[in-house]
Amino acid sequence: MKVDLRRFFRACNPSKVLRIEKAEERKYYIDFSKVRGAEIIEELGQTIALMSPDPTCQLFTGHIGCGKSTELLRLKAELEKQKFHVVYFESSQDLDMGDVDLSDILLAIARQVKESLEAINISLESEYFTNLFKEFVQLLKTPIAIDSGELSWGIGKITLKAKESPQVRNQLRQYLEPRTENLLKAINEELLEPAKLKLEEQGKQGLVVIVDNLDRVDNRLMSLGKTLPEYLFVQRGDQLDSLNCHVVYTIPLVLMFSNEREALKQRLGGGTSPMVLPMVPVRLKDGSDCLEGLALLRQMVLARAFPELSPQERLNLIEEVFDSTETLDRLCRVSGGHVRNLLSLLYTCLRKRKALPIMRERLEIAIRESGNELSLAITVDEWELLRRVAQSKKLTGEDEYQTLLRSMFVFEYRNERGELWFDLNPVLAEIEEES
Amino acid sequence: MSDGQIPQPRANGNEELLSDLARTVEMSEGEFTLLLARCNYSHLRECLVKQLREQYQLKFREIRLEPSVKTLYTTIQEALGEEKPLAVMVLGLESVEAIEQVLTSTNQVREEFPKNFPFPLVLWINDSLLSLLIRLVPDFRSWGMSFNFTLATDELIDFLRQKAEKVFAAVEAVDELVRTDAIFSPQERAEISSALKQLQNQGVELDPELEANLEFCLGRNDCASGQIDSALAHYQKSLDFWQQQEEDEPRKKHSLERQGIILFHVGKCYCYQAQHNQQENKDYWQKAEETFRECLEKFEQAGREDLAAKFIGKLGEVLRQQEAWLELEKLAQKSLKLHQENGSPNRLAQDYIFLAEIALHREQWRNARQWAKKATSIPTEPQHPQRGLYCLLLAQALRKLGSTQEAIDCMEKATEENQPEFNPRVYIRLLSELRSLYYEQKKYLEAFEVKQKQREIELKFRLRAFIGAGQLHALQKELAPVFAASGRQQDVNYLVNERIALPKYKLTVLYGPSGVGKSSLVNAGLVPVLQGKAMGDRNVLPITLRVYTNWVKELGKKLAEVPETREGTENLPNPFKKDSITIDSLDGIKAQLRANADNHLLTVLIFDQFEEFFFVCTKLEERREFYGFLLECLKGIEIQFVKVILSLREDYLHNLLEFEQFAAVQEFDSDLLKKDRRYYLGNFSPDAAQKVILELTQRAQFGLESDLIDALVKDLTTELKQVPPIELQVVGAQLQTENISALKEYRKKGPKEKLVERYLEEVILDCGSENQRAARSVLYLLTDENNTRPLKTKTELGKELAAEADQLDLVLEIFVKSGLVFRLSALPEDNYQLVHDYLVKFIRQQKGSEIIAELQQEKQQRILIQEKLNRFLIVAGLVLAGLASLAVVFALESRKQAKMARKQAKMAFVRQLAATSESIGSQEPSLYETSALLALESMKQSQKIKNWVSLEADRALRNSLILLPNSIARISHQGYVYAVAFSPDGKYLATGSGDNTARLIEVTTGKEIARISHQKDVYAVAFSPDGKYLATRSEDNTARLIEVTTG
Repeated sequence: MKVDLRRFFRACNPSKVLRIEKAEERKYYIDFSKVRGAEIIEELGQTIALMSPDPTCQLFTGHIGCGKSTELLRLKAELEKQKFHVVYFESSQDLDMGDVDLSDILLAIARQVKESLEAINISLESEYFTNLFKEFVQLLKTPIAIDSGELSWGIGKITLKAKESPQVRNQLRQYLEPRTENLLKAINEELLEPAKLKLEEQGKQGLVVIVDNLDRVDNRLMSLGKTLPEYLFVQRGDQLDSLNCHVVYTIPLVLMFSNEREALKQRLGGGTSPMVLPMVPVRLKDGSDCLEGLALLRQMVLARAFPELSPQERLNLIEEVFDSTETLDRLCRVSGGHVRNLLSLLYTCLRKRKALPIMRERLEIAIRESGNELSLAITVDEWELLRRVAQSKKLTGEDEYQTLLRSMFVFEYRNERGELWFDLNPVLAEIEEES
Repeated sequence: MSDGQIPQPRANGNEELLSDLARTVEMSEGEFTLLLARCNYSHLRECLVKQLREQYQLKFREIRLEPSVKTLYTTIQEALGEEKPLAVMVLGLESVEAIEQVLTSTNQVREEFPKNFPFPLVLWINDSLLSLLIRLVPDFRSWGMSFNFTLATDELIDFLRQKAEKVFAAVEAVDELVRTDAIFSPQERAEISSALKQLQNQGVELDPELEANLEFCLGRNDCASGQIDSALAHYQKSLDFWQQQEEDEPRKKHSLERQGIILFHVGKCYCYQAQHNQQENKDYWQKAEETFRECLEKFEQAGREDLAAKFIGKLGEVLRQQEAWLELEKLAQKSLKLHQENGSPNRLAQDYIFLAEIALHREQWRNARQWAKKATSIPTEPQHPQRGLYCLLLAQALRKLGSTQEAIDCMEKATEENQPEFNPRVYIRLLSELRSLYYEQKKYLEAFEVKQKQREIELKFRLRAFIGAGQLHALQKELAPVFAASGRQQDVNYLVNERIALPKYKLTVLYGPSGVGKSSLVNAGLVPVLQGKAMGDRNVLPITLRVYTNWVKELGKKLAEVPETREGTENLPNPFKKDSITIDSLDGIKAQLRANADNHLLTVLIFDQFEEFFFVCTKLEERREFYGFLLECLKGIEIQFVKVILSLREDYLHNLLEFEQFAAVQEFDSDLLKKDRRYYLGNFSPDAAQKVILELTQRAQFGLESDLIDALVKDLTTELKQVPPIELQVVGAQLQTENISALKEYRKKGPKEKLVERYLEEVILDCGSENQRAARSVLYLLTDENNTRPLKTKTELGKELAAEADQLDLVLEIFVKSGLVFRLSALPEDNYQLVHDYLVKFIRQQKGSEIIAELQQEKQQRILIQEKLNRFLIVAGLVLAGLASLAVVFALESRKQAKMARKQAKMAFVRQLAATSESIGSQEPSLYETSALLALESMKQSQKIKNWVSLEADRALRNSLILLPNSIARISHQGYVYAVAFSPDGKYLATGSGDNTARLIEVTTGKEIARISHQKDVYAVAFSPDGKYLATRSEDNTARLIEVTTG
């Protein structure tokens, strides 16, 4: 079977975001959750069960695309077994991740909780939210029809509008942000408190809100000298923490290396560290391959070439794509388990005329170019730092995170025993060896 | 920057890459794909773009970014409009000024790219941009695939050779009097250094001539950035090469020309060093002279009289600096001849000026006037750096010849026509000459204004460190660095980034003591930073209001002004182009604010010196109208995207309670003035003051000995461990005026009080000798025996002073302008007040008794006159009795007003005490006691005021009392207390001491209920977990256990 080169090429575009909801793109999707530990989810569930009825706030993080959602959905199922009412939602559906403020998150939570309660026939009245909607309409100067069957006091319509239009978003924000305290109070007193009472009547243990995808909040530096995640989760952490129910937030991994890490623990994590889910393992601490991880990465590449085939069938067709299995393995290893990195290398190989099968030599050129390019940005001092990291396998402090991990000079690895270490981005490691 | 001479780059390695790029673009059709085309050379880039279009027949839309763009996403969006291109190519990113901002904002909206740009996007970048992408926006970069286009080695060498020759050609061609530093654009400089780097990486050796010429370029680069030593080293290397070439007969002429040019640059370096090293400048001027002479020799040897004519002027300037008049005269004669044959009128003018200066020096005024006139009669372009000098010399000559008015006219014209930046030192000399002319003419106000302008320019051009009692105003961009060194940058950063930038805050109340620099912060810090700054998708438009007599009209006027078009905001939409509209109603203001919001502006309304509002708007309805307006801004429904900053003195903060109440009644917010809406701007800490002094003085190259700075800070620090910025500025300004830079001098001429006195004295002198007495009296009258600063109206001052209303006008005007005295708008008449309490005692000391005597004498005289008048009035009074009674009513009314003002001053004093108590109470525990004492004093003072209770004093006292430690019991031992421990239930306290005892105390009463005696020191005590037993450990080799309840 021949590869549809154009389709393959387009599937490898690193600026493309996979949309699971599209059937065609779902075929490219590989489930990596098998290669990672599951105790983390257990611990999250236990804390909720133990602390109930007191509210809890827990943090969960990991590399983008490492399967957090899958794990959180498992948590949801687990808690529902224990008779909790669980509201799980992907915040990226309600929010624009490049531009989020506290009131946006609070509104999204309010809306999701309200809608989920309606679904089990718990309806609540709220003067605050009714007024809020009226003022929104007045504010936006556009008539918004609201039907009587509206589940979320009309907030749903508003948040949808806000997500699509930065203009509307900013309008709402300049209105709502100065009053976040009132909003919080209303959510607690007019939504969560009465909800809990009604849930109890139905024999439920309590209310849990799981906010997924908040880790995608852009790590941009705000003008106040903090990054957006630091602003949201640390500076305004105490407000995120003051919801009167169980909450699990996903947060960006960066915060784990931030100087604000301690503050984060105190202000939002209730004194405990966030739980971290690791990225796709491709090698072990001693440098040998992690076979399971490697096998999944191979599938990730091949699925893009042969989306319709079964995993085994794909393996039989490797030589349609690569000159040898070794070349494919080399690509997977040198990616360090970083999916976008892998795609980027693959993409560079595919742009040539007579691209297929990809020859080892071509891959090596792509690897070298990628390394050279990265090394352009590295100063002499940083090379020194990088050498230290390569030796000690450790990274200390936010500065090192910022310059090394964030710029993808260094990668983070974990093994199944939960050990964590750092090493150079493989493309750099090779340049370093040469020099 | 297109250069015809650069050979077309060959395709070689780039051919394949180009075809890859074309292929990728084709394959990605209809889908967003980020392609980073990396190329360091603009000529190569242009050539590649052309090839893509022509050879590969690639269809793409080309977008060239202006250096002023602020975002990438919207720029592309606007450029495209409805158009749906197959591909887009973006060029010019490397020349964007706010590149970091552009990149980060691009990253913020990166999700929008795939959503709205369904096509491949080719972004042209260079190496330094790539580094920036990797560091700043790794996420965005990781989306992209890059294509690295390079030049071959020989092309690189050609490129460099051509650039180096361009420099020499430009230097030779340029009119020397015009600045020559900017031959290369920043982009070209980057290209050159990347070419050098690439060649170095390839291990290519350049031929010596190219190397020597590049050394020259590097030298010029360093020179432009002020690295003179390094520049000299580069020039020397280049010079060495060309000196060797002199041996080679056919190249001799060329070599001599090159040497001349290089030597000229070396000489300029020495001039720079002479100007920047006050101590050793003689040596440097000497060196410069020698070098320029050598330079001229080389040109003459090469037979290039034309070049000699071009470069001879600099030697003249050096001779003038050295005041070598005889030498200069010789040179000027020679130069005159050269220029008559070769030169331009500009150069001739300069020769005349040399001759004029020589004549002035020799006191040959007529000659001087003649030469200077000759120079000024030559038309020159307005930017000519020496033009100011011509006028200055002419005016000096005219003055000496007694034509004062003509001299003044000449100077006035010169200061108007010239821009200070063309030659700041000359401009300052112009101003100082003009000031002394005005002063001589008894035009004191004009003289003072000129003096202030001079100060401002000195500040701007780093020739002055301190501003004295005035405030930084004028929102010129150039003053930003002065402000940065004023120790308030952090406050500005906080206000801009944590307040204005976050939607969370709509209202900020900025408050602090008087003289702490609030208005300076607003005008010189906040406004320039905010002006045109992009926040999210909005540009900020700051509007500052300072006058409240008719706030609607004032605010309307400010809003109607077209926002100053600044770089990068030209396309800022404003539907009301030119001030064609007038806004004079509240509705008009609201409409304009709404229009601003629609035009993507974030309007920041800054109400500076807001305390004035309460003086002016005395009627509640008036104030409520304003509150209603503010509240609408804060609500954000009808009026959106408006932020409000209220800046006022801390002793008027309580006035805002009325607004808070208003907001609460309107059910907006019951706690409008809560802590996170207020921002306190306090005095400096001693450490901060030290840093500020250091930065200000270093900036202005006014080096202070470090011991002097230490001593100064110590003197400036109050007992509350604070340094008032105003005092720092006043004392600092006087230090510079008197050129005191060593501790020894300071000790001799100080302490600070003496300096403040002399600072005052200088302002008094500025009022003119015949007004001195009046000036002194006015200052004195603005103080009182309690060492406070009473508010007085002009009428009141006039009464106490012996008449002469015009004198009073002048004196007050100068005082207000100098910043010594505040003018507070009030009805029916403005009040005047000294700017700061600490001035009071200086003024009262200063010849105080003499003035009092004089005043009393004057009063006596007035009484005599009054008596005469009275006698007359008795007669007239009979007739005018009816009218007189009316007058009495008016008089009583005005006295009542004066009394009110005095009461207000007393109230303000009480509030200030209370506020100080609160502010230091929040700082450090060592000041708690002081805080309480201050609060107590505030309470005491408030009781002296009739019919008034001060809530502030009450609150301050209550708050500070809490801070004081409250001791319940005191347990006395005869030795060290080594150990203390509470029982688990908290009821008992055990102590262990060096007096050989341990004691058990009942906590609530402090009563001792048991004493355990040892032979030696008791080091430790501990209760059992159940609290029943107490164990003690002693140095006497025993531990004892007792039952707590029984002892």
